[in-house]
Amino acid sequence: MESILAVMVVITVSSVFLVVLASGTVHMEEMDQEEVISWMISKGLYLEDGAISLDGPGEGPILPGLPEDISGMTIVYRSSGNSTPLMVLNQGQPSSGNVLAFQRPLLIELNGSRFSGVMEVKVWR
Amino acid sequence: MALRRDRRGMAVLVDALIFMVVLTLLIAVVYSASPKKTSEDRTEMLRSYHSVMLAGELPAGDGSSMSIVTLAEYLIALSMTGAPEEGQVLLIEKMVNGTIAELETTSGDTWLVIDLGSVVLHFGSHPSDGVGDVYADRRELGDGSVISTLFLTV
Repeated sequence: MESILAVMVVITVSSVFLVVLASGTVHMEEMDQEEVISWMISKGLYLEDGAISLDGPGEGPILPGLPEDISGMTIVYRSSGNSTPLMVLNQGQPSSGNVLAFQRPLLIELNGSRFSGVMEVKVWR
Repeated sequence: MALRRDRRGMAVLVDALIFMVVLTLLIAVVYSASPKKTSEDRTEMLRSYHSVMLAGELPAGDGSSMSIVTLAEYLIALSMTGAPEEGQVLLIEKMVNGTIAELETTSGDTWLVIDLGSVVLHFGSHPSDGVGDVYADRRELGDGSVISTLFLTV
């Protein structure tokens, strides 16, 4: 009888542990995205209110370093509804595991004109 | 002896009950939190795309005699001149199509309704009724004479 009780306790504790672990993972992923966005704002790679100026289509300059605990990063700027990149920024080693990918709308300034665009970001540890 | 066995049996039952209740509560908390967060994310995403779209500038030499203006400013100006001409509607369509196409690709059916007072303009594909949840971001521009509403259904 005691062994049955012990098994029940173990199952309960492990279930609680797994649920807490799962919620923690989701939360960490969200936090990472916000951290990357904050880093990009601090480096002038993304503006919430304003336009990102691009010199011209094609490969852009190298990123000014990487956020903490990030081993690689790719940023693509393009027009909304158009998959052709206007600028691509790459930094770090190729991805070898999980990649955090997200996109944000932003104003892009090109040849003196500001239009709606999209920034696609991929980061990995 | 019979009484002791009965107590042990009750203990197992109580523990099993606690186990089920705790597990159910935890699962309920985790699953009930996710849709709310997703809903907030979609609303925020729609708001961001709408803001950027309205802040986009008219292409140079594209039907407007005004100096560089944003789409929001252009819509306010149009609302003061009565019904827009076909060329002006095409210009608006050209400016909003990218955002609608982007959201169509990444999120779901998207359409835009612009109420200029004298006329209501529709862009994008309005889905048939009864398809999923509909999210909307509504903006009153200028003194409220222009209302732009971006819809998304998933």
